[in-house]
Parts: sequence; structure tokens; C-alpha cells
Amino acid sequence: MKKEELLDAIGKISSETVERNSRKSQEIRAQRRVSWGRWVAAAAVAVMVGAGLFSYRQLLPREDGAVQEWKGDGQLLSSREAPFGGDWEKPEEKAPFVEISTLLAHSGSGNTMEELALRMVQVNLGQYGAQYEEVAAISSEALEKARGEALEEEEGWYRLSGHEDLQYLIHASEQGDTLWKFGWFRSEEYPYRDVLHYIYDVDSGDDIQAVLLTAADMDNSDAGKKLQEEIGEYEIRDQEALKQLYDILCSMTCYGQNRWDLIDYGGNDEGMVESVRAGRYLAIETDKGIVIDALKYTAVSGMFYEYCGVAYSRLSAEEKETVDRLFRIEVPEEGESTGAADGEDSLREYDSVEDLLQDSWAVVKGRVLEADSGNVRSYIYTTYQVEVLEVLYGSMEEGIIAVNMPGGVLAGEEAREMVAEVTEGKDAGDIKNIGNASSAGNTDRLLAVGDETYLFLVSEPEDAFGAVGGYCGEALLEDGNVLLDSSIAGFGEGISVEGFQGGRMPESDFREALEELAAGKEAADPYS
Amino acid sequence: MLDQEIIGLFWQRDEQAVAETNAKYGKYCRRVAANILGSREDAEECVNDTWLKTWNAIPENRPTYFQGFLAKITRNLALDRWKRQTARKRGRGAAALALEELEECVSGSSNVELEYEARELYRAIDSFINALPEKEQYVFVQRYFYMEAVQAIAESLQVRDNHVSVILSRTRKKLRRYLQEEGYEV
Repeated sequence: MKKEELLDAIGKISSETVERNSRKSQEIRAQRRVSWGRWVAAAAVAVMVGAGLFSYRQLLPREDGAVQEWKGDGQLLSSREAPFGGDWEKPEEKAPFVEISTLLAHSGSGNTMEELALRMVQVNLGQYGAQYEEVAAISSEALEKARGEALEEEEGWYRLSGHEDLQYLIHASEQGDTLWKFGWFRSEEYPYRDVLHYIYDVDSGDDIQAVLLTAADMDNSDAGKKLQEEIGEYEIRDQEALKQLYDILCSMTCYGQNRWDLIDYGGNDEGMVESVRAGRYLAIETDKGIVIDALKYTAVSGMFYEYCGVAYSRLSAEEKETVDRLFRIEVPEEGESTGAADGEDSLREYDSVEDLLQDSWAVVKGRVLEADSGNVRSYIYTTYQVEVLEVLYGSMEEGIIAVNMPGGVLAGEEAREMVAEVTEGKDAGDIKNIGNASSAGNTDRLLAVGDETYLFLVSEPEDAFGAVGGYCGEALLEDGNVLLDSSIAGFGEGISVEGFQGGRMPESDFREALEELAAGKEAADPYS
Repeated sequence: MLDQEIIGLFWQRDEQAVAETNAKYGKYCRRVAANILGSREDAEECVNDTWLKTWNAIPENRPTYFQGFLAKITRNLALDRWKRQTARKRGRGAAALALEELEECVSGSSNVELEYEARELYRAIDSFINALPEKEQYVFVQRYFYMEAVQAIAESLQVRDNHVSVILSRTRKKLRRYLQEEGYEV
């Protein structure tokens, strides 16, 4: 088919389609211009009807597409020619769009965040009273310049210039201009769809460009921070996924603030690591350039919530499954091991090579014959067949040993890079089915077939012999140096034994240090 | 005057029909033509041709959607005129840009030679457009039927140009997939 034929065919579509589109053009213009006013007018109607003053305004498209404004008593107030029927209407000159980031002050300037957190105000927005919280702005003068359209129903309140959303408002007073951010509607129940529509100007999944997800931060213990790093941050940009998410958000009911009784994101006396695993914080970027950064999600109860205890209805099982999948959350079933961050099931971490050696029943130098990676519940496990070249410590009879290298969960760009690196640079077997790569594990040092390595061998409950450390235990040989990266070997802040600081040393020094450490030690029994 | 009254005048072969049509839809049709031709004079001539073609067409047809009917005639006459002009001198303009964009939906080799196939094609496209979500439908028709500039569509929707471009790109890909599924060699 030629493009000209396609263009011709489009010209022959039904007159009905063409005419409907033409009328839509008029409606869109009329709606955009009066969307806010109509909302306010609707509220005004409710009041005025009670007072017997029925004088609402109504916008009606005429047959030729023009828009006429009528009062409720039938009086014609104004009439606008349709863009197609009359003179082509020049688009209204748009006010410059103000990026909110250019107005927000960093902490420390002006009022402190603590002081500002106490300043809240209710702004009447038609059918809802909305709670706004003051946020620190760079200056009153900057805000004055950034004033956009005035709110019709609240004197002294302005949108930001170029904005149709109401996420941030500027309040002008004798004391100067101040900046306020939307919190919630002062209503016992309301659909989140209304928030998206009225506050954020989001009316469909197409209006969302991306959602940035970051790890929940309610546990900042070492284990919690480690898990947060593993989860990292990642974006959803797939349009179908964004539409699914929009539909789910629209289905939610909001129960207002201070409803902690409804919010369950887990946690117990032993900490909130699992709450971190099940939690994500959202930053929703819209096509109008605003970022909705209030929503948080927990897979513990399958619900969204916000700062100040703003609670939402729990998702259905199906919706929860969708969100968990989109947010890459895997919450283990009860009794199921979570792997790395768990307690007794996880491999032991070592503070020093000396401790590591204490648990090892052998240290060998070997060469990788085969490598095969697989994905088990989003964890990478790599199995190596390693030919033993030399036994440095303990006793070792087998010529070939199987080594299991457990990994961890990683997502986003880091995971993609890592998988690409492994795929292109390392022969680590079939990893096609790996959805997530490991960050805290050893995947970034995945051994390739032919690589030589030192292995600290410790006993595992099953037949296979595992390399040791929090997630690993191999000492990779690279360019004549032994790499004992603390992040690989799980040595926390570093390796305390002389000569191992920095995680890299010449092979000869490594062997010498190991010999010194091993002197007088008795190798562990592999079958104990 | 109501559309059906104007059509009645056409049926009665009353020349007032043209005057009434011009009064009601003249500027609209001139806008449609000007989008494609980029010239006020050419658009004026094109719209005069529209009235003539409508005069000749209406005894055989009684359009239900008169405005759409006029838009199609104007658009296609303007496009024919534009093709003749660009055959003489390589021109650009809205139609050329729209054509370039549509190139990604098709292969470039003709397989729509028969009248029947051509008729089926526009029916397929009509179905495709009508199945689109409202906003995408609006943007697509504005761009490829009316040949409105992306900026003008963005301004009418009060969104950024990039947003409209993304919608168009996505819809073109959908159209290509749809045509393939319908058995067209694209």
C-alpha cells in the first residue's frame, strides 16, 4: 500500500465520523475553557436552588457547533462562533508554565519544614473542601511572579502560571505570597478519581507518562537499608501498564487523613524489613509536567496510603496481583524463605577472612568448566562445575565440585545492565528466564567458563557445596589479582585481616596471607 | 437555517442553497482547504469547487451528516489540488508532513488498485477510527483528515506538542497492526 492511498482512504471515512469529530472539537474547546467554572457553578446551583435563585449557567453547543451560554431562566448570556463555522479562533495565549521545582525552597531557607508542617488551611474547591499544607518557597516575590489564574471561589488564591492542575496553589496576602500543596479532601469518603481529575488534571491512563517506584523506607536498620538498596528504583513507562494502574487508582475510595487504623503495612517487634520488601513509594509523572508524589503502596494489605494517614480502600485480589506484578513486589508466602535478608536460613556473613576460614573445610583453586544460571522466584542461582586445580587448605578428594551461588533481587536499569554484561561478557549458561538479576549477590562478578577462582568451601545441608559469605564466597582471579570485594563476600564495611583491605590484592600476597591464617587451624569437618 | 432545510433547497435546485451553505459552512470549509493548501486564494477556489460538487452530488444523495459531507468533499478536492501543485513543484506544507508521517504505516508498493479494494480500505479505516478511544480518535482525525498542525491540536487540547506527537505515533503503529490483521499488505 502507498501512503497516498492511505491518505486518500482517510479522506473517504464516513461523514458521520468527520462530523462527530468536528463537534468534538467544539466541545473540547468549550470544556477546557469552562471546566473549572462549571464545577464551581455546579456547587453554586445546589446553594442557589435552595434559595430560590435558579440562575445557573449552561453551555450548549448549537447545531453548527457554536457554543452558547444560557442562564437557567432561558436568557442568552453569550454566544461564541464555532471555530470551524466562524473565524478560526486563534488559540488563547498560554501563560508560561512554571515548574514547581523552581519555586520550592530547600530545607533551611525561610521557614523550617517543621514550622510549615503545622500550617494547614482548607480551600473550598466547589464540591469539596480541600486541605492544603504550606510548603517552603524560595521567596514571596518569586511566587507573585508565578501566579496563574485566580480561583473564582476563593479570593486571594491562584493556580501556578500555566497550570490547570491544583496540586500547588499560591496564596496572596498582605504578608506576602505563600505556597501550598494539596493534601486531601475534607470528606469522609471520596473517589480517588476525583482527586486525579480535579487536583492533578489526569483523566486517563494516557495522561500519565511514567511512574517512578522507589523502595519504602520505614526500616533503616542495616538489613532494611540493604534491602532498600536491592530494590532500588525503577520506572513504569509501558502505556498498557500505566492504563492498568490508572484504572485501579480510579477504583479506589479515599477515607481521608489520620486513618492509621485502616492502614496495615506490616511490621513486628523484630523489625520492618518485610514491610520494606512489600512497600513502594510512587512518583507519577503526568503529561502536563507535574509529579504526583503522595501515594505509597504496601503489598502487605494490598492498599495505597499517604502521609498523614490518608487511607484508601483495599484492592481486590485481582487488582493487588496486578499492582504487585507492575511494582515487581514478591512477598513470600508464610513460612517461605525470603533468602538474603532472612535470619537463620540465610548464609552467614563474615567479619573477617579468619572467621571465614574457621568455617571452611577447604580452600581450593579451581577452573570453571560449566556454568548455568536459573531464576528461582526472581533470584538468580548459578551452578558451576569447577575443576579443582589445587587444594590450599583442608582436604579435598573430588576432582570436580558443584558450587551453588545464590543471588538476590535486582530491578530496573541496574538489572538490565547486569544481565547485558553477563550475557555479553560472561558465559554463564542460560539466563534467558531471569527476570531480575542480583545486586547484593555475586552476579556482577559472575564466573565465566574458563575463569580461575579461589573457593572457600563450607558445608551446606544438601549435597552441593556452597561458596561462602553472605551471598558468595569466591575469590575471583582477575589480571593476576585476587578480588575479595566486601560487597561480594559479605564482609560488611570491609575485611579486617591485614592485606585484604580494599578487596584486591596480588595473588601471591593472597596465598601468603591465607597460609598465615591457616597455620595452626584445623579444617572444619564437611559432614558435621 | 437547519441543515435539512439547506439540503431541501439543493433538492429543489434552488441556488439559494449555495448561499445558505456558504453562510453557514463557508469559513469552516475554507479552513479545511487552507490547512492543506496553505493559501487563502487556493482555499477560496477550492471551496467554490466544493459548492459545485455538492450541487451536482445532492440530487443523488441526501446526506445525513451535512457538515461531514462538506468536509470530505472540501478535503479531497483540496488534496487533489495539492497533488497537482506538488507534481509541478516540490512543495511542503501540512499535507506533505502528514503524508510523511503515514509512510510508517505502509510499505510503499501499491496493492489497492481495484475500486472494490479501495472501498473496503476506507471502510476498514473508518472502523479503525471509530474503535479508537475518544481522545486518540480526535487527534488522529484532526491530523490526517483535517491536516491540522500538531501545535494547533495540542493547543486545542491544552496539552504539550509532544503529547500529541506521542498519541499520533502510537495510533499510527496501531493502524499498521490493524491493517495487517485485516489482510492488507502494508
